[in-house]
Amino acid sequence: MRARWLAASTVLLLLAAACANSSSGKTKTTTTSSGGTATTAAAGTFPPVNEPGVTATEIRVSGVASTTNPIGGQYGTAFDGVQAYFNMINSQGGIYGRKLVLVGRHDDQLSNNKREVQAIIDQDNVFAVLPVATIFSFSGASLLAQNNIPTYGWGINDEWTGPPNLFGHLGALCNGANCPSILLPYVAWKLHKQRIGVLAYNVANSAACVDGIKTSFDKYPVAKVVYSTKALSFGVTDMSADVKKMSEANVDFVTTCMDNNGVLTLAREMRQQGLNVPQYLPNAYDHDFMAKNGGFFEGSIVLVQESPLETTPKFPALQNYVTWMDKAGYTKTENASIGWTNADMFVTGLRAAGPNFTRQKVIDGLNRETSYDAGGMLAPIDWTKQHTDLHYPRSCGVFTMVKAGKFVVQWAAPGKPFVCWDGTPATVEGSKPYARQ
Amino acid sequence: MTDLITYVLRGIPFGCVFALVAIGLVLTYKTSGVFNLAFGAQAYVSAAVYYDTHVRHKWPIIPAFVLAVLVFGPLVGLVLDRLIFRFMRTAPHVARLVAALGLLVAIPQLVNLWFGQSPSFGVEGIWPSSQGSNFAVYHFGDYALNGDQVATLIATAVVVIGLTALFRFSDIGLRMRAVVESARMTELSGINAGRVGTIAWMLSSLVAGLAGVLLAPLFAQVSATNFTVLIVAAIAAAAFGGLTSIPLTLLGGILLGVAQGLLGGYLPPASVLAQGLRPSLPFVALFLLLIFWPSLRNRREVTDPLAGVDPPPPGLAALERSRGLTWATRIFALIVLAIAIPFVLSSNYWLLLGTEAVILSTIFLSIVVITGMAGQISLCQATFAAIGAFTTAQLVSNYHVSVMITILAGAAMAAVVGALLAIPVLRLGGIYLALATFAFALMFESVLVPLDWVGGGANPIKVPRPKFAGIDFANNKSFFFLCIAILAVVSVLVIFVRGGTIGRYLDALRGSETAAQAIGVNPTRARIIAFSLSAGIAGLGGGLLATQTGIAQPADYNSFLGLFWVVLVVTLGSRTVEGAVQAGVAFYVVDEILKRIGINQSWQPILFGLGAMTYAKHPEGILEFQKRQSLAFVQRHLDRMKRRGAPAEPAGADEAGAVAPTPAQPSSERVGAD
Amino acid sequence: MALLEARDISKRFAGITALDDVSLDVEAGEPVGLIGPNGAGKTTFFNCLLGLLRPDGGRVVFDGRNITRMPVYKRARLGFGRTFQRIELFSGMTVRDHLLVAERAHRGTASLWKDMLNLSRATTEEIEKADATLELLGLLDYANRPIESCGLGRGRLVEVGRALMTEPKLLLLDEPSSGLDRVETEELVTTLQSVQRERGTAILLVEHDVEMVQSFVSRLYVLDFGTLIASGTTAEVLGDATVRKAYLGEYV
Repeated sequence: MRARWLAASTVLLLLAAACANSSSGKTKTTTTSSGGTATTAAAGTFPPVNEPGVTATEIRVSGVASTTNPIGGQYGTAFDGVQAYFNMINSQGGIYGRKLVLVGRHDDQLSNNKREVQAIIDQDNVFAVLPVATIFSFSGASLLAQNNIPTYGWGINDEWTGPPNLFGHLGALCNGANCPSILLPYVAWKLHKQRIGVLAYNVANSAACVDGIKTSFDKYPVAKVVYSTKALSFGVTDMSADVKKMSEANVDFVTTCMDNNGVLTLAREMRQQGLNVPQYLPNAYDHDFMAKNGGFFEGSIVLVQESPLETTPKFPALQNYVTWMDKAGYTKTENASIGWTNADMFVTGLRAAGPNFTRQKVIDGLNRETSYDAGGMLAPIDWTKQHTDLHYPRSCGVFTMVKAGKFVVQWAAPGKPFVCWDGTPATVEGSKPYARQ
Repeated sequence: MTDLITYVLRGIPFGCVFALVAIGLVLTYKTSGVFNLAFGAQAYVSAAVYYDTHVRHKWPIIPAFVLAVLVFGPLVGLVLDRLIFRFMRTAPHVARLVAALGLLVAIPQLVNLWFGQSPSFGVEGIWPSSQGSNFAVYHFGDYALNGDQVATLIATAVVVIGLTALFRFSDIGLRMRAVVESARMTELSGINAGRVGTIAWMLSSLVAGLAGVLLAPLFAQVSATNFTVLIVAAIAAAAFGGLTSIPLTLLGGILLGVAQGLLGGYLPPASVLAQGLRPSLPFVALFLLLIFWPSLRNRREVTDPLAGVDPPPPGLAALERSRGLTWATRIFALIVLAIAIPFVLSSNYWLLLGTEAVILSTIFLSIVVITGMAGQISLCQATFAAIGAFTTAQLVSNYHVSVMITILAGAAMAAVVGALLAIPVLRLGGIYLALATFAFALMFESVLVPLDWVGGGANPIKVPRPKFAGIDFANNKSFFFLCIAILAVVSVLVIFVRGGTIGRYLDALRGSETAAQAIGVNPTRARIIAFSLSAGIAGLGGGLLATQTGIAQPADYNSFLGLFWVVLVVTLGSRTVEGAVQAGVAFYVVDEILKRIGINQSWQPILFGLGAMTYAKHPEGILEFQKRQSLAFVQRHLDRMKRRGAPAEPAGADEAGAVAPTPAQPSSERVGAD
Repeated sequence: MALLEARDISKRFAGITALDDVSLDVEAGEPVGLIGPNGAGKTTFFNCLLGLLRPDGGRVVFDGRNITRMPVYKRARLGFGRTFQRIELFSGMTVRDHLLVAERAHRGTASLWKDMLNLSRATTEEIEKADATLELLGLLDYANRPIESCGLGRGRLVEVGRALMTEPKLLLLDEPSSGLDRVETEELVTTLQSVQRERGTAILLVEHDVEMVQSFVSRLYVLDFGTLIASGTTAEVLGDATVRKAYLGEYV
């Protein structure tokens, strides 16, 4: 008899079992905690708005991120950035007398993006979708585009390119061999490096990145790619042969299209074989990682896509970010700061739309900006063009050098960490980069 | 020449990494009969404990090591044996593989619940060298080793020598092997099989813990995934040792490391060959070893001479149902459908889930064919689904063929690949077959998927919805019904095949391969047909999934997902169409229920893992078992009612939880099981 | 030319010679016995004849064809039938199903397409044929029972029936009386005799039960430690002193 009940409950539990990859995240309702009494405008000060997710007192949003992932990425911290920004806005009385509320923190676990987005649309009753921080595939994009919902997120997937209601933090994204960029050649030139080694995994995204690098150096031949491979396996890989060959080829600067595991393994191998040259690290702006492993990356350059915390002095937007993140006790990761900028995009659109706002007006509001930069936190984006223009003639980047485990901004100006070029320069040497915040 | 030597030498430390892990695998298999893919998860436990004590709480190396490896290692083994594997000593090897897969998923979550999920950078090993500037490197001329590599080399040597001595010269080694071969016989000889089994688990877990702590510094963070990837690559070394010989496994690991080094050294780095072969070498090696290595090729799994003591597995419950009861069940199922379908149609979200559940059920039918009917465990069903999906995507985007036709073409392509794969692989049987299919899945993933003409490269290919017979299936509701129709057709097909000649042959082969051959059944042909059919069905499902999501994204078909599909289906019930459908629905629906109840994320994999444990006791599946129980229950009550109604006629023996129906039942006519 | 000619069959297992140059003939329609003490190699020999084991030396010629290297299922198609010492039944199938699947396998017509279109259901002819055999074996009443409900004696008969459906020219019976009581054994013998008469099947019988052997076979071979120590008519062999000493002890 006991066995039967055990079996029955196992069945019940087992019917509950789904494989790790399939489950989706909980929906948590988080309300703002701006402390003290919220200033609510008396009804009637602002006109009623008949849009989904908007009440007399609230504007609701929800987001999705790859919170659960096998490579230890902190994508879920994007929600914190949004929440901190909302805290700031709500402490000032909100927008049009309404509080901004992040009602859902969906976890797409890398492969359930479409499902989570559908859940947001069907069940969360929101006006806009932010943040979106998913790494492999933003398969819910088509749903958001179809429903014309204002969407703001970490724009590293191709799906952000195209629809006018999807706002990624980089604008239209160019990948692969058609996309020469001046950033890496500039770094090589600044550091007087001439022989480049490039390493990547045989995974599609990683490999395409190599093509992009080669094209960049073809266009800006300040240095030559003397070694490149796309044959490393994601997860665990022996790079000793590659490092040996790079030594023999007198490589003086290494760039990779790999995650933190990969670059660390490479750095250790390089140290072991005596190839003590800097790396170019496009994904390594992680304070915890660098604090623990900085010894291997002394002198390496880390590219950052938004204003780093090390910017001195801090311009107002950055200062707000730091203040409000600290108030809530959130960790200030890269994803969190991008989440903050997503919230800023949303609010910019809201403000531009006026008190009779609709989704379309909010979208149009942001789309009028020709040089939107979230108060200086992001590289400027021309939203009139950069939903679709893959080769917009403006590039920006923040270059930090690792020194004693810390990131030190390079080649820019105090308070203005971005190095930018307008137009498409013909050469690196003749180009005129300028600093901006 | 010096280059050659350098590459060889440099490959050795990495080879030792493979070897250490592979030795752990072989040790576990040899002493407990479990092919423990969860070895990585066990290693992770010790690595996590070491990280927590040494890195976070700054304990000195030795106490941290003692706690993490010498205490926690065997402790984990003890727990696993006492709670789980003790009950599986007479279960078939494949059932134990399934249990290990469950653990693979559950253990990391349990550890995360304990230690939390904050990032764990700055991993340190046991060699007294810290990160960064004090990173200890030892130079031997041109050749350098870092401290962790030295530790690994020394540990590997100690482990190999120790274990070889144990098995060759000690009593306990012999006993452990005897218990694996036949626990019952060992007990008949007066040996406490239980105690021996526990010692075996503690020993292999100790090695797991050691591997975990030694190898953790290879990665930037402590995470179970990293170890699992390592395990998978090390299987080739284990196969080289024939899954039994420790010294040969060491050699296999070293050869693997050296081969990788040589490939890295001699293949042109940017070449397509390098790109394909270097990351996939362990899987290619494993695949080729399984197919061509004589000692593996001719190896039949050691079967327990006393296995016949176990009663034969019961037949399908559905076949023993009375006609009336069968109709009642069918009507009930229709009622459930009548309620469920409008509910699914009521919101876009449920429509999405419902459609994916139906498609997944279709894919799961492929597992019913290969595992339920042919009795083989195939771990590459996700690969066949991928082949279907990518064929569909490529044909649609390159040749603009009508989508429905491409989906069918994808199924055909998968069937062809399945048949080709079956030819060398089916001869293996049991766990070797499972490993060979897994190796194939990994090869496909690492070599073919990244190619533009397969997986679409950096930009996954978009797949529109079909449009035919005047209906545009971009409408989600129409597409849902299309998927249901396809599921119905495939289900009927599977039922027909099961009742047809091939199905009968497969039944016979499952009952007794020897006797089946003795009446003239060609086992290979029957199984190849089953394999190919199964691959085709999976391919069909894959194509449908691609058009459902709108893109053919490789993450939807990754090989680990394929593992979990198999575990889910065999746990719930792989013998019936019903089992497949219920598994497909459970995959999504119950997830939702948990979300709404608000249970912590981590419990889902844990439950899944627990479920997998039941497979050994109920190889016919939990649902089948429940069905049988409830059938017996209902039958008993019907009999009781009949008896009250007609006191003159004894209705035959009532057996609580009867395995076979009573002879007096006039109705065990063959009614189709659905 | 005998129906079955096994010549000089040898088999070694890691140092143990299980069979050493064993030769044996069975004529068409003839019942022959193979006896010997435990471990003499009788089942090993059977397995070599059937193809489950490959002999290290010698050859097997059946119906004029050298089948030494032929796979098991092909030999079955040529006209071998077999029952097993440790009973090998198809769990999950009914009694009649055992015979039906054997009938199908014998005809060798397996087509996936027909299966998928549900054209492979058992035809009335097949069922009648199976029932006829079941009747011969006295199993007709149990035709629809699941095989698990049959005891050992009935199970043996099912094995015989299954083998018969393949229309064998030669039936290999491996200790068919083991586990049966006296009554069941006698029934079995009667059945086998009628089978042999009605269908003209040759039978090669491995047995322990000397009485059963005596009542049934016309010729006898004796195996001891992998070697043939005697062969001839039943009377001759059982009267031979060497045989009696090796096999029967001092039993008279």
